[in-house]
Amino acid sequence: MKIISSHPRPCSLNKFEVRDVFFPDDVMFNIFARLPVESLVRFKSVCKLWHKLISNKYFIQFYNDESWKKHIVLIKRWFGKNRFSSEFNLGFLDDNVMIRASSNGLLCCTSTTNPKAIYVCNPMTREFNYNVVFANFDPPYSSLLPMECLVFNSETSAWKIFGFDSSISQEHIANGQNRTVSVGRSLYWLTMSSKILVLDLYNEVWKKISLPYQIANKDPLQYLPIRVGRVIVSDWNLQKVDDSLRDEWVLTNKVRLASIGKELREPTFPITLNREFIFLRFFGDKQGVEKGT
Amino acid sequence: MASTSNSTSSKIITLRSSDGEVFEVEESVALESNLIRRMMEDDCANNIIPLPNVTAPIFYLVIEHCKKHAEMKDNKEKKKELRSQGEELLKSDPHTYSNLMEAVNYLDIKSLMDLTAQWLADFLKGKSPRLIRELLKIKNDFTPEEEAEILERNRWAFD
Repeated sequence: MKIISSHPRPCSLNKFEVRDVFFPDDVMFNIFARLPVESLVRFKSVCKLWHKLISNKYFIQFYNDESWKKHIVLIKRWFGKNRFSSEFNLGFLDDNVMIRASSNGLLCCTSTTNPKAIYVCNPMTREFNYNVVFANFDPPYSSLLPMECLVFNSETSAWKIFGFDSSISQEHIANGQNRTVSVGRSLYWLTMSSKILVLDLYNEVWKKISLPYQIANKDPLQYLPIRVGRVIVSDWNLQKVDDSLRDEWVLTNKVRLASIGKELREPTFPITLNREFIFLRFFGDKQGVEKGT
Repeated sequence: MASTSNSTSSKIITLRSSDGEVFEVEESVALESNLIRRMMEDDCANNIIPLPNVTAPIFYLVIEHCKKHAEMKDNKEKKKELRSQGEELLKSDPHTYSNLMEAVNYLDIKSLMDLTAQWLADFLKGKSPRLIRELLKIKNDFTPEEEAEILERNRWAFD
């Protein structure tokens, strides 16, 4: 670069007016998006503007989408003698495993040959061993509330208890058919009254959402084994539904399970999902399989 | 960009800062700015391109960092070095940082946007709200009650 004018270069830039560091919203979003969630929550108390920006719906969505790529919330799912925890071979792991938990396209498996071996793997990319945030939720088998959800944060190495608040304390988690489901930074459960209970880990709030109207009148225990937040298995159809910011369901895809494979048995799938794929499990050949939706 | 071997043959763009200083910049460097790119596409290329929102000292800094950023490509050590420079600048001269960030945003230079945003993020991370207010001269506009409520609701993040 050549500077044409003959002014001597100023050494100090301090001649400029002193003022607050302040940027347009999208610049602030760009900065905030690079911060861990604990910092963000702390920074809500810096000033009103920051509070507003960090609480902004658009930003939260953006942050969750980004953290989807970075963070994994894993739900502990110990089955004991439950028949659905039967052992199988994932193919790329040289071991027989039982699936213990699943989240965002990842599986947590324990070895059936080596009691100490735990794998966290991505059946899609066939990679294993990830840094994982563990969450633990053990619904008591009486299915009576109150219950609480324990979430472990690997950044702070601390457990946090999320107790149910009064607005949702009337809900009973549908046991047996139901599992804790994690999508992004929220956890989902199906309740006995055909609602979906949501724990938003980012905003730390409990929410209740209704089922899509297409299936809302059916017996949830029989027809709605909801395994994953935005996927509903119903009538041997696999439907992918999105709950938008407006809390509305939109049917985005529909697949007839019969077209995937005869071996599918309804209570065994899907195992987990990520953005593009739902992972299903065939009974016949004991393989983990993936199916795009 | 900013490669010396091609500099003689590459096209030179003339830019004028808000305080009237005129800069000659290689096209490859100037095109890092999406603003300048759009202006050139809109046929301003033959004239001096005015930058009414950028002062000369800040524009000088922008160019410097564009060059540094080009040099550090594929060089992890330099990348680290450049990333760590933000802390220093933010501590010693937040207003220059602020002006630089504004200029980068205005000129729409993606690589520097990422860098300067990361600088502030690194600087903020781990600091208390009180310290951040102090360092960035942000006024606490919460009432004590409001602040206490926010702290109470988010106590887990403060432990």
